[in-house]
Amino acid sequence: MSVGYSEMKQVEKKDSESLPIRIYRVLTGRSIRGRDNVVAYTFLSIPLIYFSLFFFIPISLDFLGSLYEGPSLISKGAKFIGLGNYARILRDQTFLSSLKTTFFFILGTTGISVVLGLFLAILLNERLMLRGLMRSVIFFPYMTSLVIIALIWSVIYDADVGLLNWLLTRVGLPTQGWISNPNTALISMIIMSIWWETGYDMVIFLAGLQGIPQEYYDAASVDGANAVQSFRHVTLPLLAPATFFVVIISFFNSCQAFIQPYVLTQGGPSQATNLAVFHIYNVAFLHLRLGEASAMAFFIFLIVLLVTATLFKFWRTEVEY
Amino acid sequence: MIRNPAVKLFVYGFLGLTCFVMIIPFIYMVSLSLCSDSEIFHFPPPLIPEKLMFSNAIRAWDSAPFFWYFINTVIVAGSITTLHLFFDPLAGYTFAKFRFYGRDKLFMLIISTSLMIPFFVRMIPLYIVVSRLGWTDSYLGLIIPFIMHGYGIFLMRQFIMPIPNDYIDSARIDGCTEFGIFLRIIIPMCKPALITDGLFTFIYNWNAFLWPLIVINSPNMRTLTLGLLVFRQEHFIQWNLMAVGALFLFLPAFMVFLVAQRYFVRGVVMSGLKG
Repeated sequence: MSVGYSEMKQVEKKDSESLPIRIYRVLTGRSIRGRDNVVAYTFLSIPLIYFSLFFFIPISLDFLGSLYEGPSLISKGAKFIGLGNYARILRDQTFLSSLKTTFFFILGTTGISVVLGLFLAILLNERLMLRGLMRSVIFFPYMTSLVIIALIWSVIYDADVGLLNWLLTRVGLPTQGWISNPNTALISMIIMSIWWETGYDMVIFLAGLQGIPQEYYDAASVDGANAVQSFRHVTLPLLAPATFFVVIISFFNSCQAFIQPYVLTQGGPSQATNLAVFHIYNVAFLHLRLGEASAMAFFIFLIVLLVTATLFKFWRTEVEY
Repeated sequence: MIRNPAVKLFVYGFLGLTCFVMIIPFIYMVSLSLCSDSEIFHFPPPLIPEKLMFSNAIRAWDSAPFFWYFINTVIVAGSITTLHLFFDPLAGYTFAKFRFYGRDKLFMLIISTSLMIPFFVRMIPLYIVVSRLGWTDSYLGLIIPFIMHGYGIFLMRQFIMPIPNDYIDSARIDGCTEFGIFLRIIIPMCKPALITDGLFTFIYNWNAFLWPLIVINSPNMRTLTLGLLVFRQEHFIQWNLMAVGALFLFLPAFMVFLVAQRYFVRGVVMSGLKG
Protein backbone atom coordinates (compact mmCIF):
# COMPACT_ATOMS: atom_id res chain seq x y z
CA MET A 1 0.00 0.00 0.00
CA SER A 2 2.88 2.34 0.67
CA VAL A 3 3.89 2.06 -2.98
CA GLY A 4 0.38 3.12 -3.94
CA TYR A 5 0.60 6.25 -1.88
CA SER A 6 3.89 7.46 -3.23
CA GLU A 7 2.58 6.87 -6.74
CA MET A 8 -0.47 8.88 -5.91
CA LYS A 9 1.59 11.78 -4.58
CA GLN A 10 3.61 11.86 -7.79
CA VAL A 11 0.47 11.89 -9.91
CA GLU A 12 -0.84 14.76 -7.85
CA LYS A 13 2.25 16.87 -8.35
CA LYS A 14 2.16 16.29 -12.07
CA ASP A 15 -1.49 17.13 -12.55
CA SER A 16 -1.39 20.30 -10.53
CA GLU A 17 1.04 21.60 -13.13
CA SER A 18 -0.56 20.07 -16.18
CA LEU A 19 -1.50 22.47 -18.95
CA PRO A 20 -5.10 21.38 -19.68
CA ILE A 21 -6.02 21.84 -16.03
CA ARG A 22 -4.59 25.34 -15.98
CA ILE A 23 -6.42 26.23 -19.21
CA TYR A 24 -9.60 24.80 -17.76
CA ARG A 25 -9.21 26.83 -14.61
CA VAL A 26 -8.59 30.02 -16.57
CA LEU A 27 -11.53 29.39 -18.90
CA THR A 28 -14.10 28.51 -16.26
CA GLY A 29 -12.74 30.62 -13.46
CA ARG A 30 -13.49 27.78 -11.06
CA SER A 31 -11.14 26.30 -8.56
CA ILE A 32 -10.44 22.66 -9.29
CA ARG A 33 -10.15 21.82 -5.61
CA GLY A 34 -13.65 22.99 -4.67
CA ARG A 35 -15.14 21.31 -7.68
CA ASP A 36 -13.28 18.07 -6.91
CA ASN A 37 -14.79 18.03 -3.45
CA VAL A 38 -18.33 18.30 -4.79
CA VAL A 39 -17.90 15.70 -7.52
CA ALA A 40 -15.98 13.28 -5.32
CA TYR A 41 -18.51 13.35 -2.52
CA THR A 42 -21.36 13.00 -4.99
CA PHE A 43 -19.70 9.91 -6.43
CA LEU A 44 -18.96 8.57 -2.97
CA SER A 45 -22.40 9.30 -1.50
CA ILE A 46 -23.81 5.80 -2.01
CA PRO A 47 -20.55 4.02 -1.06
CA LEU A 48 -20.35 6.10 2.11
CA ILE A 49 -23.92 5.31 3.12
CA TYR A 50 -23.22 1.67 2.35
CA PHE A 51 -20.02 1.46 4.36
CA SER A 52 -21.54 3.33 7.29
CA LEU A 53 -24.60 1.12 7.40
CA PHE A 54 -22.93 -2.25 6.87
CA PHE A 55 -19.40 -1.73 8.14
CA PHE A 56 -18.83 1.22 10.47
CA ILE A 57 -22.07 1.05 12.44
CA PRO A 58 -22.10 -2.76 12.85
CA ILE A 59 -18.49 -2.79 13.99
CA SER A 60 -19.17 -0.18 16.66
CA LEU A 61 -22.44 -1.87 17.54
CA ASP A 62 -20.59 -5.10 18.20
CA PHE A 63 -18.78 -3.61 21.14
CA LEU A 64 -21.83 -1.71 22.36
CA GLY A 65 -24.00 -4.80 22.08
CA SER A 66 -21.55 -6.82 24.12
CA LEU A 67 -22.29 -4.56 27.10
CA TYR A 68 -25.95 -5.54 27.24
CA GLU A 69 -27.68 -8.56 28.55
CA GLY A 70 -30.71 -10.07 26.84
CA PRO A 71 -31.65 -11.12 23.36
CA SER A 72 -30.14 -8.02 21.77
CA LEU A 73 -29.11 -4.44 22.23
CA ILE A 74 -32.25 -3.07 20.61
CA SER A 75 -34.83 -5.34 22.15
CA LYS A 76 -36.97 -4.12 25.05
CA GLY A 77 -35.51 -6.40 27.68
CA ALA A 78 -31.93 -5.29 27.06
CA LYS A 79 -30.15 -4.43 30.27
CA PHE A 80 -26.82 -2.63 30.50
CA ILE A 81 -24.38 -4.81 32.41
CA GLY A 82 -21.04 -3.25 31.50
CA LEU A 83 -18.35 -5.84 31.12
CA GLY A 84 -20.52 -8.55 32.69
CA ASN A 85 -20.68 -10.55 29.47
CA TYR A 86 -16.89 -10.60 29.29
CA ALA A 87 -16.64 -11.87 32.85
CA ARG A 88 -19.16 -14.54 31.97
CA ILE A 89 -17.50 -15.79 28.78
CA LEU A 90 -14.11 -15.96 30.47
CA ARG A 91 -15.59 -18.38 33.00
CA ASP A 92 -17.43 -20.33 30.31
CA GLN A 93 -15.57 -23.61 29.86
CA THR A 94 -17.17 -24.32 26.47
CA PHE A 95 -15.99 -21.00 25.11
CA LEU A 96 -12.49 -21.40 26.52
CA SER A 97 -12.16 -24.88 25.10
CA SER A 98 -13.43 -23.65 21.73
CA LEU A 99 -10.66 -21.01 21.81
CA LYS A 100 -8.15 -23.76 22.43
CA THR A 101 -9.56 -25.86 19.60
CA THR A 102 -9.44 -22.87 17.27
CA PHE A 103 -5.83 -22.20 18.24
CA PHE A 104 -4.79 -25.74 17.30
CA PHE A 105 -6.86 -25.59 14.13
CA ILE A 106 -5.19 -22.34 13.03
CA LEU A 107 -1.73 -23.60 13.95
CA GLY A 108 -2.14 -26.90 12.10
CA THR A 109 -3.85 -25.53 9.01
CA THR A 110 -1.72 -22.43 8.54
CA GLY A 111 1.58 -24.06 9.46
CA ILE A 112 1.31 -27.09 7.22
CA SER A 113 -0.42 -25.46 4.26
CA VAL A 114 2.16 -22.66 4.11
CA VAL A 115 5.11 -25.07 4.18
CA LEU A 116 3.46 -27.43 1.71
CA GLY A 117 2.45 -24.53 -0.55
CA LEU A 118 6.03 -23.23 -0.58
CA PHE A 119 7.40 -26.68 -1.37
CA LEU A 120 4.94 -27.20 -4.23
CA ALA A 121 5.63 -23.72 -5.59
CA ILE A 122 9.36 -24.39 -5.68
CA LEU A 123 8.82 -27.68 -7.52
CA LEU A 124 6.31 -26.20 -9.95
CA ASN A 125 8.59 -23.26 -10.69
CA GLU A 126 10.96 -25.69 -12.46
CA ARG A 127 10.49 -26.51 -16.13
CA LEU A 128 8.38 -29.66 -15.94
CA MET A 129 5.99 -31.45 -18.21
CA LEU A 130 2.31 -30.59 -17.60
CA ARG A 131 3.36 -27.81 -15.26
CA GLY A 132 0.38 -25.56 -16.04
CA LEU A 133 -2.10 -28.40 -15.65
CA MET A 134 -0.63 -29.47 -12.31
CA ARG A 135 -0.78 -25.90 -11.01
CA SER A 136 -4.45 -25.61 -11.97
CA VAL A 137 -5.31 -28.96 -10.42
CA ILE A 138 -3.67 -28.05 -7.12
CA PHE A 139 -5.21 -24.57 -7.08
CA PHE A 140 -8.69 -25.76 -8.01
CA PRO A 141 -10.03 -26.86 -4.59
CA TYR A 142 -9.65 -23.31 -3.27
CA MET A 143 -12.15 -22.09 -5.87
CA THR A 144 -14.70 -24.72 -4.90
CA SER A 145 -17.39 -24.11 -2.31
CA LEU A 146 -16.37 -25.41 1.10
CA VAL A 147 -19.90 -26.74 1.48
CA ILE A 148 -19.27 -29.17 -1.39
CA ILE A 149 -15.84 -30.03 -0.08
CA ALA A 150 -17.08 -30.74 3.43
CA LEU A 151 -19.91 -32.88 2.03
CA ILE A 152 -17.54 -35.04 -0.03
CA TRP A 153 -15.05 -35.35 2.80
CA SER A 154 -17.77 -36.36 5.23
CA VAL A 155 -18.31 -39.38 2.97
CA ILE A 156 -14.57 -39.97 2.55
CA TYR A 157 -14.16 -39.92 6.35
CA ASP A 158 -17.09 -42.24 7.00
CA ALA A 159 -16.01 -44.86 9.53
CA ASP A 160 -17.84 -47.80 7.93
CA VAL A 161 -17.73 -47.40 4.18
CA GLY A 162 -15.55 -44.34 3.63
CA LEU A 163 -12.79 -44.17 1.03
CA LEU A 164 -10.07 -43.45 3.56
CA ASN A 165 -10.74 -46.46 5.74
CA TRP A 166 -10.85 -48.63 2.65
CA LEU A 167 -7.39 -47.34 1.72
CA LEU A 168 -6.15 -48.10 5.25
CA THR A 169 -7.40 -51.67 5.13
CA ARG A 170 -5.77 -52.02 1.72
CA VAL A 171 -2.33 -51.21 3.11
CA GLY A 172 -2.99 -53.29 6.23
CA LEU A 173 -3.51 -50.51 8.79
CA PRO A 174 -6.31 -50.45 11.35
CA THR A 175 -9.32 -48.31 10.39
CA GLN A 176 -10.00 -45.04 12.18
CA GLY A 177 -13.13 -43.31 13.36
CA TRP A 178 -11.95 -40.02 11.76
CA ILE A 179 -14.69 -37.45 12.32
CA SER A 180 -16.69 -39.71 14.64
CA ASN A 181 -13.84 -40.07 17.11
CA PRO A 182 -13.09 -37.09 19.41
CA ASN A 183 -9.37 -37.80 19.23
CA THR A 184 -9.09 -37.65 15.45
CA ALA A 185 -11.96 -35.28 14.52
CA LEU A 186 -9.93 -32.07 14.73
CA ILE A 187 -7.02 -33.60 12.84
CA SER A 188 -9.41 -34.78 10.12
CA MET A 189 -10.78 -31.27 9.84
CA ILE A 190 -7.28 -29.82 9.64
CA ILE A 191 -6.34 -32.25 6.88
CA MET A 192 -9.38 -31.24 4.86
CA SER A 193 -8.64 -27.54 5.32
CA ILE A 194 -5.02 -28.01 4.29
CA TRP A 195 -6.22 -29.86 1.21
CA TRP A 196 -8.49 -26.92 0.44
CA GLU A 197 -6.02 -24.11 1.04
CA THR A 198 -2.60 -25.30 -0.09
CA GLY A 199 -3.22 -24.43 -3.74
CA TYR A 200 -3.86 -20.80 -2.89
CA ASP A 201 -0.66 -20.54 -0.89
CA MET A 202 1.19 -22.16 -3.79
CA VAL A 203 -0.09 -19.60 -6.32
CA ILE A 204 1.04 -16.67 -4.15
CA PHE A 205 4.46 -18.28 -3.60
CA LEU A 206 4.78 -18.95 -7.34
CA ALA A 207 4.16 -15.29 -8.08
CA GLY A 208 6.76 -14.39 -5.46
CA LEU A 209 9.30 -16.83 -6.92
CA GLN A 210 8.82 -15.46 -10.40
CA GLY A 211 9.68 -12.01 -9.10
CA ILE A 212 13.19 -13.10 -8.04
CA PRO A 213 15.71 -12.23 -10.76
CA GLN A 214 17.79 -15.14 -12.08
CA GLU A 215 20.96 -13.04 -11.64
CA TYR A 216 20.76 -13.46 -7.87
CA TYR A 217 20.99 -17.23 -8.24
CA ASP A 218 23.80 -16.88 -10.77
CA ALA A 219 25.68 -14.65 -8.37
CA ALA A 220 25.12 -17.11 -5.55
CA SER A 221 26.43 -20.03 -7.59
CA VAL A 222 29.46 -18.01 -8.70
CA ASP A 223 30.18 -17.49 -5.02
CA GLY A 224 30.03 -21.26 -4.61
CA ALA A 225 26.65 -21.61 -2.93
CA ASN A 226 24.95 -24.98 -3.20
CA ALA A 227 21.21 -25.46 -3.72
CA VAL A 228 20.41 -25.44 -0.01
CA GLN A 229 22.49 -22.34 0.64
CA SER A 230 21.00 -20.37 -2.26
CA PHE A 231 17.52 -21.36 -1.03
CA ARG A 232 18.39 -20.21 2.48
CA HIS A 233 20.09 -16.95 1.51
CA VAL A 234 18.38 -15.92 -1.74
CA THR A 235 14.95 -17.51 -2.06
CA LEU A 236 13.73 -17.32 1.52
CA PRO A 237 14.60 -13.67 2.23
CA LEU A 238 13.23 -12.51 -1.12
CA LEU A 239 10.04 -14.49 -0.58
CA ALA A 240 9.42 -12.78 2.76
CA PRO A 241 6.66 -10.45 1.49
CA ALA A 242 4.81 -13.34 -0.16
CA THR A 243 5.24 -15.47 2.96
CA PHE A 244 3.91 -12.70 5.15
CA PHE A 245 0.88 -12.29 2.93
CA VAL A 246 0.17 -16.01 2.79
CA VAL A 247 0.46 -16.35 6.57
CA ILE A 248 -1.91 -13.44 7.17
CA ILE A 249 -4.54 -14.69 4.70
CA SER A 250 -4.26 -18.24 5.95
CA PHE A 251 -4.58 -17.05 9.53
CA PHE A 252 -7.68 -15.04 8.63
CA ASN A 253 -9.19 -17.95 6.72
CA SER A 254 -8.74 -20.43 9.52
CA CYS A 255 -9.80 -18.17 12.37
CA GLN A 256 -13.04 -17.58 10.46
CA ALA A 257 -13.63 -21.25 9.66
CA PHE A 258 -17.33 -21.94 9.95
CA ILE A 259 -18.41 -24.29 7.16
CA GLN A 260 -15.93 -26.98 8.22
CA PRO A 261 -17.53 -27.58 11.64
CA TYR A 262 -21.05 -26.79 10.47
CA VAL A 263 -21.13 -29.28 7.61
CA LEU A 264 -18.53 -31.85 8.59
CA THR A 265 -19.00 -32.39 12.32
CA GLN A 266 -21.53 -29.97 13.86
CA GLY A 267 -18.80 -29.13 16.35
CA GLY A 268 -18.73 -32.65 17.74
CA PRO A 269 -18.01 -35.32 18.76
CA SER A 270 -17.99 -34.07 22.36
CA GLN A 271 -17.09 -30.58 21.13
CA ALA A 272 -13.74 -31.68 19.74
CA THR A 273 -14.24 -29.47 16.66
CA ASN A 274 -16.21 -26.63 18.21
CA LEU A 275 -14.39 -23.79 16.41
CA ALA A 276 -14.86 -20.25 17.69
CA VAL A 277 -17.02 -18.81 14.91
CA PHE A 278 -19.25 -21.88 14.94
CA HIS A 279 -19.61 -21.46 18.69
CA ILE A 280 -20.48 -17.76 18.32
CA TYR A 281 -23.05 -18.61 15.67
CA ASN A 282 -24.71 -21.15 17.97
CA VAL A 283 -24.75 -18.86 20.99
CA ALA A 284 -26.15 -15.99 18.92
CA PHE A 285 -28.66 -17.60 16.61
CA LEU A 286 -29.56 -20.87 18.32
CA HIS A 287 -29.55 -19.81 21.98
CA LEU A 288 -30.30 -16.16 21.08
CA ARG A 289 -27.81 -14.78 23.59
CA LEU A 290 -26.69 -11.97 21.31
CA GLY A 291 -24.94 -9.92 24.00
CA GLU A 292 -22.77 -12.81 25.07
CA ALA A 293 -22.03 -13.77 21.46
CA SER A 294 -21.06 -10.16 20.67
CA ALA A 295 -18.67 -10.22 23.62
CA MET A 296 -17.10 -13.44 22.31
CA ALA A 297 -16.78 -11.98 18.81
CA PHE A 298 -15.19 -8.82 20.15
CA PHE A 299 -12.85 -10.75 22.43
CA ILE A 300 -11.63 -12.94 19.58
CA PHE A 301 -11.34 -9.89 17.38
CA LEU A 302 -8.98 -8.33 19.91
CA ILE A 303 -6.83 -11.47 19.84
CA VAL A 304 -6.83 -11.45 16.04
CA LEU A 305 -5.82 -7.80 16.07
CA LEU A 306 -3.02 -8.51 18.50
CA VAL A 307 -1.70 -11.42 16.42
CA THR A 308 -1.92 -9.40 13.21
CA ALA A 309 -0.11 -6.46 14.78
CA THR A 310 2.61 -8.79 16.09
CA LEU A 311 2.99 -10.35 12.64
CA PHE A 312 3.26 -6.89 11.09
CA LYS A 313 5.88 -5.84 13.59
CA PHE A 314 7.84 -9.04 13.16
CA TRP A 315 7.63 -8.58 9.40
CA ARG A 316 8.83 -4.97 9.54
CA THR A 317 11.92 -5.88 11.53
CA GLU A 318 12.73 -9.16 9.81
CA VAL A 319 12.03 -8.40 6.19
CA GLU A 320 14.14 -5.34 5.61
CA TYR A 321 17.09 -6.42 3.58
CA MET B 1 16.79 -27.16 -14.08
CA ILE B 2 16.76 -30.57 -12.49
CA ARG B 3 19.33 -32.91 -14.02
CA ASN B 4 19.71 -35.67 -11.46
CA PRO B 5 17.32 -38.47 -12.58
CA ALA B 6 16.62 -39.63 -9.03
CA VAL B 7 15.57 -36.12 -8.01
CA LYS B 8 13.49 -35.83 -11.15
CA LEU B 9 11.72 -39.08 -10.36
CA PHE B 10 11.00 -37.89 -6.85
CA VAL B 11 9.66 -34.53 -8.08
CA TYR B 12 7.33 -36.11 -10.63
CA GLY B 13 6.26 -38.75 -8.15
CA PHE B 14 5.49 -36.21 -5.45
CA LEU B 15 3.64 -33.86 -7.79
CA GLY B 16 1.73 -36.74 -9.37
CA LEU B 17 0.65 -37.98 -5.97
CA THR B 18 -0.39 -34.46 -4.89
CA CYS B 19 -2.47 -33.95 -8.03
CA PHE B 20 -4.07 -37.35 -7.49
CA VAL B 21 -5.00 -36.44 -3.92
CA MET B 22 -6.41 -33.12 -5.14
CA ILE B 23 -8.56 -34.73 -7.83
CA ILE B 24 -9.78 -37.89 -6.12
CA PRO B 25 -12.50 -36.27 -3.97
CA PHE B 26 -14.03 -34.73 -7.09
CA ILE B 27 -13.93 -38.05 -8.95
CA TYR B 28 -15.45 -39.67 -5.89
CA MET B 29 -18.26 -37.12 -5.95
CA VAL B 30 -19.03 -37.82 -9.61
CA SER B 31 -18.93 -41.59 -9.18
CA LEU B 32 -21.08 -41.46 -6.04
CA SER B 33 -23.66 -39.45 -7.95
CA LEU B 34 -23.91 -42.28 -10.49
CA CYS B 35 -24.19 -45.14 -7.98
CA SER B 36 -27.37 -47.07 -7.37
CA ASP B 37 -28.92 -46.96 -3.90
CA SER B 38 -27.48 -50.29 -2.84
CA GLU B 39 -24.03 -49.71 -4.32
CA ILE B 40 -23.18 -46.74 -2.08
CA PHE B 41 -22.89 -49.09 0.91
CA HIS B 42 -20.48 -51.49 -0.70
CA PHE B 43 -17.11 -51.76 0.86
CA PRO B 44 -14.89 -50.85 -0.95
CA PRO B 45 -16.95 -47.98 -2.34
CA PRO B 46 -17.06 -48.27 -6.12
CA LEU B 47 -14.97 -45.65 -7.91
CA ILE B 48 -16.55 -46.81 -11.14
CA PRO B 49 -20.18 -47.85 -10.58
CA GLU B 50 -21.36 -51.01 -12.30
CA LYS B 51 -24.32 -49.35 -13.90
CA LEU B 52 -24.28 -45.58 -14.42
CA MET B 53 -27.46 -44.31 -12.83
CA PHE B 54 -28.06 -41.06 -14.68
CA SER B 55 -31.61 -41.17 -13.39
CA ASN B 56 -30.21 -40.07 -10.01
CA ALA B 57 -30.00 -36.54 -11.36
CA ILE B 58 -33.74 -36.48 -12.09
CA ARG B 59 -34.59 -38.09 -8.75
CA ALA B 60 -32.54 -35.52 -6.85
CA TRP B 61 -33.93 -32.63 -8.89
CA ASP B 62 -37.49 -33.78 -8.19
CA SER B 63 -37.03 -34.43 -4.48
CA ALA B 64 -36.21 -30.80 -3.59
CA PRO B 65 -37.02 -27.43 -5.18
CA PHE B 66 -33.58 -27.18 -6.76
CA PHE B 67 -35.03 -25.06 -9.56
CA TRP B 68 -35.86 -22.30 -7.07
CA TYR B 69 -32.53 -22.69 -5.29
CA PHE B 70 -30.88 -22.10 -8.66
CA ILE B 71 -33.01 -19.07 -9.49
CA ASN B 72 -32.38 -17.55 -6.04
CA THR B 73 -28.64 -18.10 -6.27
CA VAL B 74 -28.45 -16.66 -9.78
CA ILE B 75 -30.49 -13.60 -8.77
CA VAL B 76 -28.43 -12.97 -5.64
CA ALA B 77 -24.95 -13.67 -7.01
CA GLY B 78 -25.84 -11.95 -10.31
CA SER B 79 -27.15 -8.74 -8.73
CA ILE B 80 -24.26 -8.54 -6.29
CA THR B 81 -21.75 -8.94 -9.12
CA THR B 82 -23.49 -6.34 -11.31
CA LEU B 83 -23.60 -3.80 -8.50
CA HIS B 84 -19.97 -4.50 -7.64
CA LEU B 85 -18.98 -3.80 -11.23
CA PHE B 86 -20.58 -0.37 -10.94
CA PHE B 87 -19.68 0.74 -7.43
CA ASP B 88 -16.16 -0.70 -7.10
CA PRO B 89 -14.79 1.23 -10.10
CA LEU B 90 -16.82 4.34 -9.14
CA ALA B 91 -15.28 4.50 -5.69
CA GLY B 92 -11.89 3.34 -7.00
CA TYR B 93 -11.91 6.08 -9.66
CA THR B 94 -12.85 8.74 -7.14
CA PHE B 95 -10.06 7.71 -4.77
CA ALA B 96 -7.55 7.49 -7.62
CA LYS B 97 -8.24 10.69 -9.52
CA PHE B 98 -9.86 13.29 -7.28
CA ARG B 99 -8.32 15.41 -4.59
CA PHE B 100 -10.88 16.00 -1.89
CA TYR B 101 -11.13 16.67 1.76
CA GLY B 102 -10.29 13.60 3.86
CA ARG B 103 -9.51 11.35 0.91
CA ASP B 104 -6.60 9.36 2.35
CA LYS B 105 -8.20 8.91 5.74
CA LEU B 106 -11.47 7.77 4.20
CA PHE B 107 -9.70 5.35 1.92
CA MET B 108 -7.72 3.84 4.79
CA LEU B 109 -10.89 3.57 6.85
CA ILE B 110 -12.74 1.70 4.11
CA ILE B 111 -9.83 -0.59 3.30
CA SER B 112 -9.01 -1.43 6.88
CA THR B 113 -12.59 -2.06 7.99
CA SER B 114 -13.39 -4.28 5.04
CA LEU B 115 -10.10 -6.15 4.71
CA MET B 116 -8.78 -6.35 8.25
CA ILE B 117 -11.95 -6.99 10.22
CA PRO B 118 -13.22 -10.57 10.00
CA PHE B 119 -16.83 -11.11 9.07
CA PHE B 120 -17.76 -12.74 12.38
CA VAL B 121 -17.23 -9.40 14.14
CA ARG B 122 -19.93 -7.79 12.00
CA MET B 123 -22.18 -10.81 11.78
CA ILE B 124 -24.44 -10.19 14.77
CA PRO B 125 -24.85 -6.38 14.51
CA LEU B 126 -25.26 -6.71 10.74
CA TYR B 127 -28.16 -9.04 11.42
CA ILE B 128 -29.64 -6.46 13.79
CA VAL B 129 -29.26 -3.69 11.18
CA VAL B 130 -30.78 -5.82 8.42
CA SER B 131 -33.69 -6.95 10.57
CA ARG B 132 -34.31 -3.31 11.60
CA LEU B 133 -34.54 -2.48 7.91
CA GLY B 134 -37.07 -5.29 7.55
CA TRP B 135 -34.92 -7.14 5.05
CA THR B 136 -34.61 -10.55 6.68
CA ASP B 137 -35.73 -13.46 4.57
CA SER B 138 -35.66 -11.41 1.36
CA TYR B 139 -33.48 -10.79 -1.66
CA LEU B 140 -32.71 -7.32 -0.33
CA GLY B 141 -31.23 -8.80 2.83
CA LEU B 142 -29.08 -11.16 0.81
CA ILE B 143 -27.92 -8.60 -1.76
CA ILE B 144 -27.65 -5.09 -0.31
CA PRO B 145 -25.12 -5.77 2.49
CA PHE B 146 -22.64 -7.04 -0.13
CA ILE B 147 -22.85 -4.63 -3.06
CA MET B 148 -19.27 -3.41 -2.77
CA HIS B 149 -16.09 -4.35 -1.02
CA GLY B 150 -12.82 -2.76 -0.03
CA TYR B 151 -10.90 -5.37 -1.98
CA GLY B 152 -12.65 -4.45 -5.24
CA ILE B 153 -12.28 -0.72 -4.58
CA PHE B 154 -8.59 -1.18 -3.83
CA LEU B 155 -8.10 -3.26 -6.98
CA MET B 156 -9.84 -0.68 -9.17
CA ARG B 157 -7.98 2.23 -7.61
CA GLN B 158 -4.64 0.51 -8.25
CA PHE B 159 -5.69 -0.10 -11.83
CA ILE B 160 -7.03 3.40 -12.52
CA MET B 161 -4.16 5.35 -10.97
CA PRO B 162 -1.69 4.80 -13.84
CA ILE B 163 -4.25 5.90 -16.46
CA PRO B 164 -2.94 9.29 -17.70
CA ASN B 165 -4.96 12.29 -16.52
CA ASP B 166 -4.84 13.70 -20.04
CA TYR B 167 -7.73 11.42 -21.06
CA ILE B 168 -9.86 12.79 -18.26
CA ASP B 169 -8.81 16.40 -18.80
CA SER B 170 -9.45 16.38 -22.52
CA ALA B 171 -12.87 14.82 -22.03
CA ARG B 172 -13.61 17.53 -19.46
CA ILE B 173 -12.57 20.27 -21.86
CA ASP B 174 -14.71 18.69 -24.59
CA GLY B 175 -17.66 19.19 -22.27
CA CYS B 176 -18.18 15.66 -21.01
CA THR B 177 -19.98 15.48 -17.68
CA GLU B 178 -18.13 14.05 -14.69
CA PHE B 179 -20.32 10.97 -14.66
CA GLY B 180 -19.92 10.65 -18.41
CA ILE B 181 -16.15 10.59 -18.00
CA PHE B 182 -16.49 7.70 -15.55
CA LEU B 183 -18.91 5.79 -17.74
CA ARG B 184 -17.36 6.36 -21.18
CA ILE B 185 -13.66 6.80 -20.47
CA ILE B 186 -12.80 5.00 -17.24
CA ILE B 187 -15.06 1.94 -17.39
CA PRO B 188 -13.95 0.82 -20.88
CA MET B 189 -10.30 1.18 -19.87
CA CYS B 190 -10.72 -1.03 -16.80
CA LYS B 191 -11.95 -4.14 -18.56
CA PRO B 192 -9.24 -6.55 -17.32
CA ALA B 193 -9.61 -5.44 -13.70
CA LEU B 194 -13.40 -5.57 -14.01
CA ILE B 195 -13.26 -9.15 -15.27
CA THR B 196 -11.12 -10.21 -12.31
CA ASP B 197 -13.29 -8.35 -9.81
CA GLY B 198 -16.50 -9.71 -11.35
CA LEU B 199 -15.34 -13.32 -11.44
CA PHE B 200 -14.18 -13.34 -7.83
CA THR B 201 -17.32 -11.62 -6.64
CA PHE B 202 -19.51 -14.05 -8.52
CA ILE B 203 -17.76 -17.21 -7.31
CA TYR B 204 -17.56 -15.90 -3.76
CA ASN B 205 -21.26 -15.13 -3.61
CA TRP B 206 -22.25 -18.25 -5.50
CA ASN B 207 -20.59 -20.18 -2.68
CA ALA B 208 -21.74 -17.88 0.16
CA PHE B 209 -23.06 -19.78 3.12
CA LEU B 210 -22.92 -18.17 6.54
CA TRP B 211 -24.90 -15.02 5.77
CA PRO B 212 -27.75 -16.77 3.90
CA LEU B 213 -27.90 -19.23 6.79
CA ILE B 214 -28.48 -16.32 9.18
CA VAL B 215 -31.02 -14.23 7.24
CA ILE B 216 -33.06 -16.86 5.39
CA ASN B 217 -35.90 -18.70 7.12
CA SER B 218 -38.45 -19.68 4.51
CA PRO B 219 -37.69 -22.70 2.27
CA ASN B 220 -38.47 -20.92 -1.00
CA MET B 221 -35.82 -18.23 -0.33
CA ARG B 222 -32.97 -20.72 0.11
CA THR B 223 -29.90 -20.46 -2.02
CA LEU B 224 -28.18 -23.55 -3.43
CA THR B 225 -25.71 -23.95 -0.56
CA LEU B 226 -28.52 -23.81 2.02
CA GLY B 227 -30.78 -26.03 -0.04
CA LEU B 228 -28.02 -28.57 -0.33
CA LEU B 229 -27.62 -28.75 3.44
CA VAL B 230 -31.34 -29.21 4.03
CA PHE B 231 -31.36 -31.81 1.29
CA ARG B 232 -28.60 -33.65 3.10
CA GLN B 233 -30.50 -33.60 6.38
CA GLU B 234 -33.50 -35.16 4.64
CA HIS B 235 -31.58 -37.68 2.52
CA PHE B 236 -28.80 -38.38 4.95
CA ILE B 237 -28.48 -41.99 3.88
CA GLN B 238 -28.71 -41.40 0.14
CA TRP B 239 -25.20 -40.27 -0.63
CA ASN B 240 -25.75 -40.71 -4.33
CA LEU B 241 -28.51 -38.09 -4.37
CA MET B 242 -26.47 -35.86 -2.07
CA ALA B 243 -23.57 -36.07 -4.52
CA VAL B 244 -25.91 -35.07 -7.34
CA GLY B 245 -26.97 -32.05 -5.30
CA ALA B 246 -23.33 -31.16 -4.72
CA LEU B 247 -22.78 -31.38 -8.47
CA PHE B 248 -25.64 -28.93 -9.07
CA LEU B 249 -23.73 -26.40 -7.00
CA PHE B 250 -20.34 -27.44 -8.33
CA LEU B 251 -20.81 -27.52 -12.11
CA PRO B 252 -21.69 -23.85 -12.82
CA ALA B 253 -18.72 -22.64 -10.76
CA PHE B 254 -16.50 -25.25 -12.43
CA MET B 255 -17.50 -24.01 -15.91
CA VAL B 256 -16.69 -20.45 -14.92
CA PHE B 257 -13.33 -21.58 -13.57
CA LEU B 258 -12.46 -23.52 -16.74
CA VAL B 259 -13.34 -20.65 -19.06
CA ALA B 260 -11.66 -17.91 -17.03
CA GLN B 261 -8.87 -19.77 -15.25
CA ARG B 262 -6.09 -17.34 -16.06
CA TYR B 263 -8.10 -14.43 -14.65
CA PHE B 264 -8.45 -16.26 -11.36
CA VAL B 265 -4.75 -16.90 -11.02
CA ARG B 266 -4.02 -13.32 -12.00
CA GLY B 267 -6.58 -12.04 -9.53
CA VAL B 268 -5.03 -13.99 -6.69
CA VAL B 269 -1.60 -12.69 -7.61
CA MET B 270 -2.80 -9.09 -7.99
CA SER B 271 -4.48 -9.11 -4.62
CA GLY B 272 -1.46 -10.70 -3.03
CA LEU B 273 1.51 -8.80 -4.26
CA LYS B 274 0.28 -5.32 -4.93
CA GLY B 275 -1.16 -5.03 -1.45
